[in-house]
Amino acid sequence: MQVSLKTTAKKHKATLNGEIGFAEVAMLHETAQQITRNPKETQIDWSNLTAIHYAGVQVLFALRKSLEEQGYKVQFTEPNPQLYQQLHTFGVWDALIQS
Amino acid sequence: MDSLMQLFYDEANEMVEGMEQVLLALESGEPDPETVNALFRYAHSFKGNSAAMGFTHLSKFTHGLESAMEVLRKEQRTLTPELATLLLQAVDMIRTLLERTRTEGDVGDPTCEPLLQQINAVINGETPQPTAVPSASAPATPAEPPDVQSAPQYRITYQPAPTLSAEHDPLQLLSELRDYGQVLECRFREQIPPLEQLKTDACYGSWELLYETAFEPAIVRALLELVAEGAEVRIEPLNAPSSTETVQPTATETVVAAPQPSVATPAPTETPAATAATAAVNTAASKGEAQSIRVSTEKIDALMNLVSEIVIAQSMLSSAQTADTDERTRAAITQMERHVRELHERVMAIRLLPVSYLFNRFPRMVRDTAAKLGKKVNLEVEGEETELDRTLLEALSDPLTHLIRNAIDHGIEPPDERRQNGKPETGTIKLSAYQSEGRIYIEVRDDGRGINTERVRQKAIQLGWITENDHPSEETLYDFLFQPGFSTAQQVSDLSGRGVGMDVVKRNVESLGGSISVQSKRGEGTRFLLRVPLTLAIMDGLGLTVAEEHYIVPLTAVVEAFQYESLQHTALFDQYEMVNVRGEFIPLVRLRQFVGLPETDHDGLIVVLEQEGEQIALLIDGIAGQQQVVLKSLEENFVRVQGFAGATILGDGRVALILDVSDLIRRGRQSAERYAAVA
Repeated sequence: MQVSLKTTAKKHKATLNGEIGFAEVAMLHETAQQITRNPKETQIDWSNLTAIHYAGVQVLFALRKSLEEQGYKVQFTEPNPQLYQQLHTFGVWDALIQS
Repeated sequence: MDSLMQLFYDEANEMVEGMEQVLLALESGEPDPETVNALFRYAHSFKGNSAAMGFTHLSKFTHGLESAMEVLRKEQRTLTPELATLLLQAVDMIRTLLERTRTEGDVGDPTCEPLLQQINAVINGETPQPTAVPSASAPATPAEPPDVQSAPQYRITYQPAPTLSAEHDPLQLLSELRDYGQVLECRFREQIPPLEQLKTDACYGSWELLYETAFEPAIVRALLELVAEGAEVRIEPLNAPSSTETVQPTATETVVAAPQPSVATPAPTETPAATAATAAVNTAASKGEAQSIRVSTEKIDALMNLVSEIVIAQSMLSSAQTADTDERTRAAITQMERHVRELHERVMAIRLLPVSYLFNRFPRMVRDTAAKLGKKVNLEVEGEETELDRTLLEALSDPLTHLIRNAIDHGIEPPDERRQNGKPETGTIKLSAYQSEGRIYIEVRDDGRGINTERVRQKAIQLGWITENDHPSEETLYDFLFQPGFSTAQQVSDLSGRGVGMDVVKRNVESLGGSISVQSKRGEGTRFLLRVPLTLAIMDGLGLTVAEEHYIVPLTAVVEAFQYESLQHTALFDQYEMVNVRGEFIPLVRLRQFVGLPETDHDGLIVVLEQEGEQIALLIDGIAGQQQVVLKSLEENFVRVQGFAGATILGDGRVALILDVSDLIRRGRQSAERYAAVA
């Protein structure tokens, strides 16, 4: 399972594993919608994610925007070095974590 | 299967075959940067296409392979036999995974990772470490630009195509830029809406990069535009040398698919990576002007069947003409005949494929079979451009596979034996194709030990086919090779020697309306010659009559026809007759006798038929004329009947049998042998 969601009273924790290709983006989108339907502080743990399609990155951006509009924050864990290098080199990481 | 999926499989199979051929070419000691690039391109395209179809395992494995090939390309490593074998195994793996997608879906294979690990270890000159399995999805080792120190810089604005897909991942495309240069700065402009408004397949971002590369900017353009139409790429040279500027797009140019002439024709000094990208540019350039389209074979077969029916209808119309038919109608029928003939030729041409389509399968087979048997064999191919009906090509695959395997297994000697016989250690199998007299000839020739005719004779005696006192001619002995159950192989291997092969080869070739013959010289080699018609569908035939029956012979086999006078012929035995044709004796076959009709006392006509230099005189009652005939297989509804290649429907609706010239000639050969013995 590439995307899993744990919800407590205070927050959501979405864990992303392996590779999220274009086919898995729908699952990620569905999870993001679940989060926004019941908005809380959210942590995205993608430390075990090795690759993600840009469509998936867009979902994370959109989730962050939706939650921020409702006054909630999204916290991203450090991605794995390979993914970080890719996101950082092309300016995506910085844009994603800026509040 | 939907058309997109079919297209994927068609292209995928071509790419897999392409990869295999390139590897074999490289292994045969022709290191050429363009060949290595071609290998890389196949892997790259295959990866993209697989990803687009959602076949993650396939795409992932090919990505790993592409990474390995990139090192091979970048560092111009020699393709050692060990590495070649591993890469060929990887191609086999791709083939397996591809086949599994048809039946089981995208299931992958547990041996993929270890195989990639082995390949990487060999490429890097390491001993494979089974525990250190690198990820197959690890990115390609970046290509070193030719001269990073003095590399020009560019400002690149990249607006991806508006729709994302499995194949179109802008981040992945940008990452590939790192293989060709250095990203000095990058600005990401996101216009991503909140989740409620997000469309997951829409692209909401763009990038501006400061990029340094020694490669031509066309590479950048090609990479970013390769997988999706509609991307906007703007490349501004910042410090490019003037010599390079001449081939750059202008500063404000929004690059579209149109190629730059200077890029489309690579300079001799072009780097491998640049060549790869150039090919990609050329691919992009061709997007707008389709040179060919893919059409399913079912559609072409349906068209061919329809043409066959038109040929029959046209033949009916022609035969319906009488002396009273007016001139205008005659002219219209003549014109229609011409057009139907041209229509047939053009439709037939669509079905024709170069025999390379078939021959390309054999280098790999020869390599693997020879390695398995500890022999050294070089396969030479000639006449690959010869075209043949697609159905025939498919049907010839098994017979040729068997002949080539036999040649390696029984023909080519082991290296030490060849050396002792004063031959080069490496044996040669020559596979050639050519067209002559309206037929296609395919030859499998080896320079091995040749056929031991005495052993064939002994085997035939053992089987009770001949007695100790019989000493048949070489041709007759060779014919035994094609009889069911005959094999002189002393050891049965999994390759050949079970005696179930050559008869099947012969039957398959004959079922195509073809024939097979063999020539051999002890110690020098063996030559199998397959003759097949150009097409299975329609041929020009000559109508022959005996009694009220019509028979057809292929027009290409007809040499001449003349009035038969019984005084001319010389009868040696009751059943073996020869005809004196201008001083030369030709075996005679009486068609009436052949088809079981009573003889008449009138003389009739002789038609001389020829195939492969052998002639036969066929005694008939009369000639019904020349016509195009549609070949119909008898074997779909009846068993194969010796002497007949099929049937056709005549213009008046009657059925006529088509005579098998090879079989008639074979029968005539017995007469010739008797005649020779007496003479």
